[in-house]
Amino acid sequence: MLSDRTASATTLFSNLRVGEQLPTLTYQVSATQIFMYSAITWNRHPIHYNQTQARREGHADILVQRGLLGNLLVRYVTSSVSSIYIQTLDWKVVSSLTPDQIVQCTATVSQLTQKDWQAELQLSLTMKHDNRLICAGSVAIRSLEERDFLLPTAWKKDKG
Amino acid sequence: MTFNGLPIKEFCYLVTTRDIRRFAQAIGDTNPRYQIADDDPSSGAQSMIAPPLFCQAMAFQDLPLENLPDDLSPAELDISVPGLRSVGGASHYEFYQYVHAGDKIRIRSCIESVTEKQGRTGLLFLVSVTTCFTNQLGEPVAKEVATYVKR
Repeated sequence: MLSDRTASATTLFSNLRVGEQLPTLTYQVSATQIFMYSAITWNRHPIHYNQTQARREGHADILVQRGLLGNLLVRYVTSSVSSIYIQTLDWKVVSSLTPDQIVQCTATVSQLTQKDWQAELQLSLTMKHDNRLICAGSVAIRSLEERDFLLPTAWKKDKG
Repeated sequence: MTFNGLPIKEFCYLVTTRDIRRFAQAIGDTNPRYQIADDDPSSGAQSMIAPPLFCQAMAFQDLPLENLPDDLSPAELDISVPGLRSVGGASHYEFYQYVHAGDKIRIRSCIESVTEKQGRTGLLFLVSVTTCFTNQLGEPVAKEVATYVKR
C-alpha cells in the first residue's frame, strides 16, 4: 500500500516562515498501487505493469508514474500544512522509483508573497530514496477559503 | 522543431463521484472528502470535490490499443521523431478551482515544442504538451505543461 509511514504533524499555514523546514514524511508505493493508477488514468504504457518490458527498456523493475509521484507530493504537502489550497505545483523526475522502495519527502518554505490581501507561500520539495533524488519541485499554496468549495454556478454568482 | 499550436486532442469528460472515489483510492488518499458514497444529491455528492491532480484521470483519451504508438505510450507522443521509447519527465500545474462531481470538463491539448538534446546514452527529444481544462461554464479549472522524454 501507498501509505504515510510517519504520523503527520500538521502545521498551520499562518505559522510558516521563510526558511522553515517541514517534518519529513515517508511513503511507499506498491505494484498494486501503480496498477491502480495506470488503470484510473487509462495509461497503458507497459513499463508501469510489465516487468519484462520494463527491463527490456533498461529499467530495474516497473516504474512509478510521474503523475503518481506528483500525487505523493500533493499528499505530503496537504498532510503537513492544514487547510491550504494548492495554486501551482511543479515537479521533475530525476531518477526512477520502483515498487516498495521507501521515499522521504521534505519541504522548505522558500518565499512569502503578499498578493493583494492574500499571502502565498512557495515551498521547495524533494523526494528521495536512500539519499538518491527521485524528484524535485516546488508548490505555491494559500489558505483555503469557503469560496473554494462553491459549485461553479454559485462561484460565478458570488463573484458577480 | 516548431508546431502550429493546433489541438492534438479536444474532448469532454463528465466527472462522477465514482471517478473521484476511484482516483483517491488509486493515489492512496483517504481524505473522507473524496469518499462520498453515491450520486444521491441529498448525500452531498453534488458538492464533492476531487483531489488537485484529478485532471490526470481525464487527460488520456479512450483510444483503442491500435490507435496508440507501438510502445503503448500516450497517443500525443506519436510524433515523427527517431525516439522509440517514452517516459514522463516533468509537470507544471496551475490550479484555478476545484473539480466537482457533475462538472463537464473540456480537455484541450497542444504540443508546444519538441527539443533535441544530447543525453548520457544518446540523442533524446523533450516533448512539451500543454493541456487546458475548462468547466461547463467555460471557466478555467487547471492547466498542465507536461514534458515527456523520447529516446
